[in-house]
Amino acid sequence: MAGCEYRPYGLLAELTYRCPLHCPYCSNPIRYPIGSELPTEVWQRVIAEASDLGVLHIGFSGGEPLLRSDLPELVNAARKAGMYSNLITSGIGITLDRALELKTAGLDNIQVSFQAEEAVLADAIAGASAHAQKLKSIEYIHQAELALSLNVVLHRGNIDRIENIVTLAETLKAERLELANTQYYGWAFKNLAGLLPSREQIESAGRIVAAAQVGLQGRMEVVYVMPDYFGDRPKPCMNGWGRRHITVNPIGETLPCPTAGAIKDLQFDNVKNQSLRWIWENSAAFNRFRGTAWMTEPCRSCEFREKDFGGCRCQATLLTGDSAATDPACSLSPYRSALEKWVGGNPESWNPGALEYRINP
Amino acid sequence: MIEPSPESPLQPNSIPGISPRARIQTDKVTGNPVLISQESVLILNATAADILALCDGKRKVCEISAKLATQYNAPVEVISTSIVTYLTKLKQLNLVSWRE
Repeated sequence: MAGCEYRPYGLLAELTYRCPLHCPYCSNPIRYPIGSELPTEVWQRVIAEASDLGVLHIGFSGGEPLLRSDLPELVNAARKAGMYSNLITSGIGITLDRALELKTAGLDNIQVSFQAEEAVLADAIAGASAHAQKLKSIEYIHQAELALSLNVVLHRGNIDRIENIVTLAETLKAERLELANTQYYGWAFKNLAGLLPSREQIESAGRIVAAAQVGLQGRMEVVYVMPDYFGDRPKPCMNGWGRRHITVNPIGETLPCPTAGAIKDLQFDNVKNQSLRWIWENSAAFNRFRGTAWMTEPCRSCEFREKDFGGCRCQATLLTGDSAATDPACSLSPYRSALEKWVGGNPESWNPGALEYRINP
Repeated sequence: MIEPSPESPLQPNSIPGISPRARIQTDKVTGNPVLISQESVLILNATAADILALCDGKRKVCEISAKLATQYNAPVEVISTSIVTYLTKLKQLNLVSWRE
């Protein structure tokens, strides 16, 4: 644990699982952990402790974090602790007063999700009438002079619209656009068959994004997250387990990654009972996949083992049942065939009615 | 299709400022100044920190160059070239902008 090998830079503060949207790709757990949401004073303590551990970025997320009336107090705690704060929101619930209040509290950036570039499709994906309210929220965000990012989760139903989505982000004067292919955890894994795009769709989208990144350089940062089902090498998930990131969920459970609840043999310590530093240094869940000693073959002797850290533990669990297996997104994985059945075929046409939409706890 | 759009290059009279989505912060662990934005942390060396401290949205590039040339006891042309190179790089990352 010595030195900078294990230093958290980011804290994801999931303030609530409640959300006005019902996106079928939500990364929230399908079975929500049971317990009451953390009170303001515990979050304030966690924020101060995170800063002392070296955290520089805090993301306020959920669910919909605007449903917490104490959000400005928590933003202010982050500002006082010297952290860069980002509000990850659906945009539903932003008024001009709320935007000004968050700006005054010290919020650095607000990231609004969009589901598509136009209302009919966007609302069908969100399972809620949301698109028009989101557009209105952007006006308030600009009036409050908050820096704006947009993020759009990509899947079979909207990936062919990617050029229009980029145009929307330009029109809305976003400083940053994150186009992230769905990561198949939580609700998204449940809906994998209905969401996964075809290889042709992925390749076409990649070409359009590459052109946009050149054309918009200096005006809007365009970030593209590839779907790792289609690659040869796994992603260096979380930049290594328990190495750079901490997630605290709405009831105070503290996780090395937001979806680690998918790994059933892990027990998560709670900030109600322990300090964040104690958890970072001692929690069995954080120590479980640190270093390389936990690895199985082919990772254990692989030259890339300290570059990609064996890939994603949640994905390995979901696709192989073994949390210590090589991520099947790696072409060297003996379980690679578990992916081939998804990426090899021709997906059915887009049918949002067949998806299972996220429900609230 | 999105066409590349030419942005006006940095001129001696341009007035640079840090983008509203970024700010300078001291890293508590290392003591280093960092330029921090969403999902990015750039560690600033002493020169970079000196340049950005003067990019306050009020000073012109020529004024910043003159001030640092005096501070470093170096030719203003050399300082000016370094500033233009550095700020142009940060502009590509959408971390600074300037007005004429």
